[in-house]
Amino acid sequence: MDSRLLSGTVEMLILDVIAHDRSYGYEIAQRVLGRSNGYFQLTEGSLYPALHRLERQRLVTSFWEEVDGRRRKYYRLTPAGKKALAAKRQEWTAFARGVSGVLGAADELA
Amino acid sequence: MNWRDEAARGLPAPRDDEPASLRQDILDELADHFYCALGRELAKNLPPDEAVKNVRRRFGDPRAIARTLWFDARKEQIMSQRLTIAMMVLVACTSIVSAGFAWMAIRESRTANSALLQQIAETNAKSLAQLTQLAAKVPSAGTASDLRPVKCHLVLGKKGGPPAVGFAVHLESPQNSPFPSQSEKSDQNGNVDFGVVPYGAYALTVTHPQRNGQSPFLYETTWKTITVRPQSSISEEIVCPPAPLRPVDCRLQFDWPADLSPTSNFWIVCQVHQSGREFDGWQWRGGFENVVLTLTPGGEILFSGGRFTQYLRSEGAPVIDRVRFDPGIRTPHPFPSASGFDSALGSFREWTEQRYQITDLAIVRARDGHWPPGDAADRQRAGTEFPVLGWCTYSESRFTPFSADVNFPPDLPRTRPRLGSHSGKLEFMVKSSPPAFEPVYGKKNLIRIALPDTLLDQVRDVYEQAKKYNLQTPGRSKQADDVAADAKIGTHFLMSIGLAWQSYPPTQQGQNRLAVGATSGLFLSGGVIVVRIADDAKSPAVRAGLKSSDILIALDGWTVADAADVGSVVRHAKGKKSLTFLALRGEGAGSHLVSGQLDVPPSVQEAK
Repeated sequence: MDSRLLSGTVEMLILDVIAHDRSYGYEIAQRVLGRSNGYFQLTEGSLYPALHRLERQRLVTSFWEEVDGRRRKYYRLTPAGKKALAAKRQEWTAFARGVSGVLGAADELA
Repeated sequence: MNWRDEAARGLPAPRDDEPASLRQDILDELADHFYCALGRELAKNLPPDEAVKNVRRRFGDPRAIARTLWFDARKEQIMSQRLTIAMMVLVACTSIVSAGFAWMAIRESRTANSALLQQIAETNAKSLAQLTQLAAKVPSAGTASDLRPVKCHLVLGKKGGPPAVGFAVHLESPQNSPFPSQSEKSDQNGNVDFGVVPYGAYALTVTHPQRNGQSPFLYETTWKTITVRPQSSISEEIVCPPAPLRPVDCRLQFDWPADLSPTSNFWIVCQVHQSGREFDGWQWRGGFENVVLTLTPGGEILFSGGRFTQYLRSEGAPVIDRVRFDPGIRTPHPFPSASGFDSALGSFREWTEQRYQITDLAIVRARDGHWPPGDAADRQRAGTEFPVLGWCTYSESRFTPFSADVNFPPDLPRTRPRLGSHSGKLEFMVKSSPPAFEPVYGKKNLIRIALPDTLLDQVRDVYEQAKKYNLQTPGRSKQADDVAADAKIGTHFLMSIGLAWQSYPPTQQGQNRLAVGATSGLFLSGGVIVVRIADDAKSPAVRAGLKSSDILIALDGWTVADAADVGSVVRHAKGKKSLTFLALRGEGAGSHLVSGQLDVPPSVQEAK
């Protein structure tokens, strides 16, 4: 996958994954991988900076729990995060529809 | 090597201001991720070494990730600190520069202050020397020899007369004097002793004793300025009225010409100066100095108070004023006082035995139905207007009745002298001795006053011109309900003929046009201004030729000032299918009269 296509959508994907339930870094990466049928493979180098950025923007909140003798950091969506996700979804839908329209027209011409 | 330790190596050196758990949190989160990934690889039954190798390959450099997370967390604070340091440096530089400027300014001002102090010291030394010289010449104030006696002796009627007992004498000290003012009453011998006072100018006021039942407006007073000088004493003889001011039976009667019918609601407004009484050089005055009276030509006083000469001279309106009657006024006198506007002139109460002088006089025309105010509802009404037909002053000074700077249309005959070639300002004056009279107590005083021929000629001219247009002023009912009903009819009529309108204020915009009307014999105190004509070629207003901003001033030979007047005319014009109208059109020099026929719509005829 061209990483430039993923640019700008990582945060939207993260927000969507934790929209319904709390989750932690590794699990988020696995869910994205699974839901995209192995297409989006988030590297740790982009996942954690994005998670921390969302936390600073108050779009997600975090808490710690102890699991198997280790500390695990869980993330959960805030009300502001829900609004931001809805906006990003709408924006993405319009974008995708536009791109599809153009590509569709190009296919017809071909 | 422990993967956790390897990630910790990527973190910068610990800082004092970083949160205590930051490093621990980053490492714990990354370690959890690593162990989760490792667990997944081991679940694939891979050998441990290969599993670790796979995780590392996918994870990347743990040191770089840890460092990125640490910098991201600390970025805001680091930037804030850098900004603070930069600001501090800037403030420090500014402070140093300011201190430098301040030091330079202080050094300069110190030099200037030194020069100023030296100059002040020299001036003070000179002043002190002058004061010392003056002090040597002038005796010191406040010593016993500088306090001089002041005494008064009050007599009745004439010098050397019997003592005046019980008069109030007030000695007003000069301003800023440490000695208080004094008030005494004359004793049985008519004497008043104020003791000794410092020299200076004092105001001496003497008031007649108050009597039971006497109007406070009739208390007579006299005053004089006395100057107490060093090495002298004051012993003043004051001549007082032998008796209190008494009301007299007095009536004015104007020589009214027979050709001017007194039934045409002519009124005479005059400003009267109450001169008071004089006894051996002592002037005594009771009540107000000037009053304004409005009388019938037969001399019946209608009311007192109001502006007259001041108003005419300063504002020059062709209408005296809109007089309003305060329903709260309760007066025992046979005529009420007009109120509702500012007036420096006092109300008149009654004629008394003193000298009077008429200083100004005007002849006005009143509208029917407004006078005399019969009941409270009538007094509460808006009031009445007094179009001035002519007026004069008995002083030698000129004044301009109204300052309408217009060129009168050639088809309108001028009825008053027009002075000067540069404008249409009208001026006239009467040079004659002011009518003066002094009614006597105990007699019936009938004061006949001849009106100046010039004044009567003016009235006559304007009156004749009024006849030319044959305009009359509609009478008004005293009942507010009747006026409201007329206003309703008038509004219905004006709307039916297709025009929007409003009452024309006589003292605001368009005064010039009213002035033109006045000089043509139309004694306009208002009119119905046409604001907008309905866009309908068939409407009576359009067919009659009326235009926007015309002032409708007369209908069917009657002047109209508002909707009630219009309604009154329409109501009385029974059976007429059209009404003659007269209107003023244009501004200033372009003002002129237009006339025509206004059809009465059937709906209005039916309503009547």
